[in-house]
Amino acid sequence: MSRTAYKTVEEAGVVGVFRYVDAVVEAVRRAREQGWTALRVYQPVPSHTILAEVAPPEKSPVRFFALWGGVAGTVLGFALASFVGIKMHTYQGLLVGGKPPVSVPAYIIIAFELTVLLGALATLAGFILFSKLPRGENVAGYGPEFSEDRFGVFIPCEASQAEPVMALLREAGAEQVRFEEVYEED
Amino acid sequence: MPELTYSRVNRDILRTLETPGRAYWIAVALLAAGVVLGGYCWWTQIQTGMGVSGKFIPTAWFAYITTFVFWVGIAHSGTLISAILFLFRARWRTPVYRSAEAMTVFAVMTAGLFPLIHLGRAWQFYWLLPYPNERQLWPNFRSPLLWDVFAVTTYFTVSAMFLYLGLIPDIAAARDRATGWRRRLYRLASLGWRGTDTEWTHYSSAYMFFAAFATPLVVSVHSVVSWDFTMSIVPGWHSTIFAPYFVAGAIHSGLAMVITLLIPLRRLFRLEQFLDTLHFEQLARLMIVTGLIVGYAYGVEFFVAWYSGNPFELSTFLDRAFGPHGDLFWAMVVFNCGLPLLFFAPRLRRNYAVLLAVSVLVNVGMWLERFVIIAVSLTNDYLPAIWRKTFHFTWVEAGILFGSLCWFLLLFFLFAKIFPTVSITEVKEALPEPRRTAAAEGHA
Repeated sequence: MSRTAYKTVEEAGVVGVFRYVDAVVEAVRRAREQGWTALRVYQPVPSHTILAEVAPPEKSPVRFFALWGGVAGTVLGFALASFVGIKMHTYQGLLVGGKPPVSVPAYIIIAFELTVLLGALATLAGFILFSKLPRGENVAGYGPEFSEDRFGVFIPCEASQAEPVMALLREAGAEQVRFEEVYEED
Repeated sequence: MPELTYSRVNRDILRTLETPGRAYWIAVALLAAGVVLGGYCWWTQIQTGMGVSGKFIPTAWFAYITTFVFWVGIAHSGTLISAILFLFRARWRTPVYRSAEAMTVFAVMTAGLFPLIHLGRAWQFYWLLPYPNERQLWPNFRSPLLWDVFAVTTYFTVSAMFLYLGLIPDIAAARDRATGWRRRLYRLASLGWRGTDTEWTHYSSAYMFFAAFATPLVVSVHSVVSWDFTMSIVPGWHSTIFAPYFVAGAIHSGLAMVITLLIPLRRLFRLEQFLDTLHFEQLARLMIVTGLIVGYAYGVEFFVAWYSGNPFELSTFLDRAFGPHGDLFWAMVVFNCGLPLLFFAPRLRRNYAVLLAVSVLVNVGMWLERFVIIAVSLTNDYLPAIWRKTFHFTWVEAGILFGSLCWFLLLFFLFAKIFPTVSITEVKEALPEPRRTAAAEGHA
């Protein structure tokens, strides 16, 4: 018995290896016409032709992370500097530098830097979250050729459904097709 | 030269990560020795006291703060090339930007050492951080020195994240071909990137926002550094043009450092097909622009000093140009404003020896600029009784400055052998997409 036979299948499907972008677009269209909508495309570069075909029409939600991270930074910067100014003035009787407790022009700089810092941190967090990173090696259909010069169209399906899917991908111009399963890690 | 293909881009760029030759290790060993020397000098200063640094009043800022501003400036062109030129869709930046971004991060890391070295009791650096002490006293948020802490730490964090974000797909490409410890490192650092459509969609969005955040940041950082000076009332410092003047100077010095690093890198790593004359010409053209802006700023400073009618201001500027350190001032003018004008001649800006020589001298000139602004202005304060017109570098200071240069170059050398110094992803993006129709016509 093979080592994997008693393990739970995490993901299974057929992957087609393509050389040309227009062939990938054709494969995606054909697959969708036949009801295989939950597919993904591996790409060595972000091909805008493919992304326009595959990616959902709405823009990435990472932009909300950028916006709200930036807003949070602005608020935090002003709040922190103002809190300290008011606290030092009201409770400790210190008028630092003879300036008002809330010195807006000076605090704009703190607020600006924190806007950029928190905006950028939130953007990175949004990218990692929505891209479902970090992930382990358990990715069905992936091969090293997809970080070099080939594109991959992966259609999740069970072994019993693999034949028609393989035929579909071959007809669209896949150089190679294979059925792959990955198993849940221990 | 054979036509570039996706596969060839992978192979040629990843080849630069292969086991290095003896020349590389000799260079690394020499740089590491320089870092050890710098560390020893710093240790001597900590053990003995700040007296060994040659600091004296009123020019206590002369060596370390000059060098801090110099390194922060060097950091600027990285973000200019990676973020601003990205937003303007300047495609020639593609093979240059990764090295420039890495240079940015390492230059900020080098710059960050100098406030600590200057501090004397470096282990109390955390007093700079915004939190209250045991008597509930907070740092002063109106102080330019605290703005500097916010600006420089933000710049370092954002630049490092921006560099890393751009590296992720390239690290994944390296991971798929690596073995041994490199594979383990790349697996960890690539976060399991697979280049799916979802990943690329979010990546492209995040990259654009990073560029949008980094663009105003790069302008703000050297503006804030300039305010360390302008917020005081020292003659020669208290000037409203300092922010744009410093930003232009920072980009000028950063471009010079990019050229200084890329010319040897291109030769050592055989990257001629990615970094050709066009890229260096564009950098040289940018240096003409920044050199002219810097030259204009030098002129305006003198005009303002004369037009203000302020005798202290005018005296300081006359002292800069015709005082005991006038030679440094004129060297600065020639190096920063005169030499880049040579690049108006296409023959000269296409000559790598001239490019390298001019960019090294511009780096020297930009260090001198900060020295003239900081040190010479401080010698000419309002109290003639404490004027002191002579400077001397002690061996401790010289060792620390030399060590900082070795530290910066060592970080860059190590980076260049671990991560791709030319972006695989963006070079591929610049190539035409492989299409069946084009292949049928014989173009792919």
